[in-house]
Amino acid sequence: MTDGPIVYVVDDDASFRKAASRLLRTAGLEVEALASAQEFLEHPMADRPSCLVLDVRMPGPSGMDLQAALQKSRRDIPIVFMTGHGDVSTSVRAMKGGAVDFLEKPFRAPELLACVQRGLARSEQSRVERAEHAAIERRFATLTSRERDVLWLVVTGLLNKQIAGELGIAEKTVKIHRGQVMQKMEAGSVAELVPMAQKLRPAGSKP
Amino acid sequence: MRLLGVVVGAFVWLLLAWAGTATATDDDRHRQVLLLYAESRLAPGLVAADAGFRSAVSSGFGAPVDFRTEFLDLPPTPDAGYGRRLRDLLRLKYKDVHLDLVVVLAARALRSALEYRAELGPSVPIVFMGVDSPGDLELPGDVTGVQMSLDAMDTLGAALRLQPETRRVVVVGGTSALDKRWIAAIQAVFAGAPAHLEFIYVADLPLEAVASKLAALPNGTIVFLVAFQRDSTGRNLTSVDALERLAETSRVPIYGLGSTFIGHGIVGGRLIDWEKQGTRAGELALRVLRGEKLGPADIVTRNTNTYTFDARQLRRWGLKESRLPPGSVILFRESSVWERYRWPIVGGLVLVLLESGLIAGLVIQRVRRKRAEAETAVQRGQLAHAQRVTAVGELTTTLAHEINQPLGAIVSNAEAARRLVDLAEPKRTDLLETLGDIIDDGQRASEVIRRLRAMLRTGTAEAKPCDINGLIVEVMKFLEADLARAGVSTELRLGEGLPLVRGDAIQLQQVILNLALNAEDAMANGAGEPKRLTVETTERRPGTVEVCVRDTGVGVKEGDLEGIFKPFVTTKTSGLGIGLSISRSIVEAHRGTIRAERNPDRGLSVRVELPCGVAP
Repeated sequence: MTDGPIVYVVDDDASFRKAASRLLRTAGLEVEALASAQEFLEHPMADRPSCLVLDVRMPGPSGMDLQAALQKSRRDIPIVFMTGHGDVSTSVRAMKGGAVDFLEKPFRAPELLACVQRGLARSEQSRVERAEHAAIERRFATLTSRERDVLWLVVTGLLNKQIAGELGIAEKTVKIHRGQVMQKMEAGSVAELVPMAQKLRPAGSKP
Repeated sequence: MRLLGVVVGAFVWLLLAWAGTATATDDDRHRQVLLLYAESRLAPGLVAADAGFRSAVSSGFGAPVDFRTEFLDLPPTPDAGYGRRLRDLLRLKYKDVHLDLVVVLAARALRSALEYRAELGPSVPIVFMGVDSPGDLELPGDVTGVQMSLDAMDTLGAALRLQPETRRVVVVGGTSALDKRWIAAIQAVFAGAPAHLEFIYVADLPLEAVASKLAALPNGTIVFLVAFQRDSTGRNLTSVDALERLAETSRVPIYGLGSTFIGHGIVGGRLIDWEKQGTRAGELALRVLRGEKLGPADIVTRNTNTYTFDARQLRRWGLKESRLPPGSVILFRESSVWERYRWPIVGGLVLVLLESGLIAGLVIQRVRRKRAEAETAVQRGQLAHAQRVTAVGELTTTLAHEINQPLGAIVSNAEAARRLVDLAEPKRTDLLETLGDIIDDGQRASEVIRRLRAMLRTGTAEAKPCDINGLIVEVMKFLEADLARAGVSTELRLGEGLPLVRGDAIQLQQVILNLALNAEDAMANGAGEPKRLTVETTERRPGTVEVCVRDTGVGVKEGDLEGIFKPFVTTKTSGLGIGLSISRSIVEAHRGTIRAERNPDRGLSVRVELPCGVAP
């Protein structure tokens, strides 16, 4: 159960918090209920698929404030907003900020559960993506400086000869480097290597 | 030469002035006037005549006048021995006295004066008064006086007007010489009375016998009292004393002869006015003293008697004033309160009327004012309600939240409950707990609605004793969520044991609501500053409760403090600016005051002082 999905419910209203938590638990979900944005920010985050069910209107930092704070600290958790009295501008802001959905209280169980499931799915997916990314990063880290140069030129579609010309080395040497890159990056073909390079690009230096 | 002329002139003038003074001195000589009475004592008529005479002479004559009085005490029948001794006495007494005038009352005294003229001074002029028939006497040329009318017939006429049913007249008199003489005179007068009247003379009985006789008189009878200075037993009386005794028991009205009888039991009549006799005689005496020679030709014959009646007797006998002869003087009118205090009463009535008018005016004004106040109160109520709706409207978001929060919980709990039931092995405790939560939240939602409805209630203001602290707590609960959302911490410092404020709870709550909302708004944009709302209640002065709403907001400039209570004055971007103005009108309708002051550090304090137990 420890790495199963977890749902955080943040609402200042104790009775609503309890009700929402209870409902989610009946759906077999693990729930943690918190009374304020501050409490959530201070709460240690488990490395599990998670979803945040968040009340917009709270004393102290509001739900929107919490969303902004999470983005700023790059804490990626899908948010399902709830509000007792929604207005268009708030909901638009929330959705633009990447919210899963914007629910108006009172809402039916299927609505909430569907949203939470979507949130958890998104969380799961981003966990997978993050894991893949980390693996590619790890492989990329094993490449030598020359091998990295060759990688970037390979994924731009240059031939070995052109690469040799570009780097001012022998075509034969290029071939050896290329073989190392394909092996270290665990890529069977250039077609497999390209998406890996794309994922690396934001962190990498070469265009 | 000229100087000499002046000196001579001054001398002559001084001489003349001295001569004038000398003449005056001569005129200042004390005049000697002798009042001669036949009686032995002060009979009431005598006293009145004497007083009238003296007063007329003293006030009318420039020089001092010495009055001497001689009571001759004449015996009832002429007595030669007494006459001789009296003559000796008078001679002895007035030998060296230079009399200027002798004044006598009544015929008997006049006769004595003439008889003893030599002793009194042969050339001393005589003035008489109270003599009914001076023509019967032979009067020397230096004797004059005032004739007295015996108006018994006029009195009888008046009596008949008052009592037309009269058939019998009982004439009552005493046994003294004067009594007898006058009875005789009256008898002569009544000889000419209407024939249908029967006259009975009672003049020779003891007083008590007369009294019992009068007590037994039949109706249609009147009594005429002539004079009663002595009764048949020889007891000396005054006519007045006799009259008082007779009037006590008489069955019929008594009429009389002289003015001295009035007030002692007679109805009245055309009475001899003794005082006027004296006054008239005094006027003659003045002329004589000034040197005029007056004689029998100058006798005053004009009737000096007046119809005089006693109001108490008229009432006693049921006689009508309207039947009195014209010009009658009515004495002892038990002046009705009205007659006695006419002007004070008129004045009082005028005052009362004015006051009544004033009171009526004030009452009308009060009624009008009450009506106007009632209308104003209704309008104020409507306006207050409108403002309340507006104020509460600003809380819509919070309120929706407040209501949806429990509703959301209810729906979620119900959904959870359904799922719990659907479980293969439903957990009873979980289910019960969930249902319990649903009930709690339902109640919570209905509480929010109740507060909202209470705030928006319409209706006329009603004055009831209100616990101001309770009202504040209620309002703060209503605002709790909104204040919390706005990040405002609230502190209530409610005084204990405060007296009740008499007023309309909803309107007073509105004032608190407005002040709290203003405070919240004032703190809305304070970045980083602590937002604190304090509501304090104290009994600052006995009989008043003060509510102080203090914030840590932007505050108001010193010069704008008064202006914020005016309508349509607002520092906010939203709102009409009528909250404080309505609040003030509500507070003032409760006879209270409201004022704002800047806090020493930051923000504003609004103090509302409400008197206790005063209706709006």
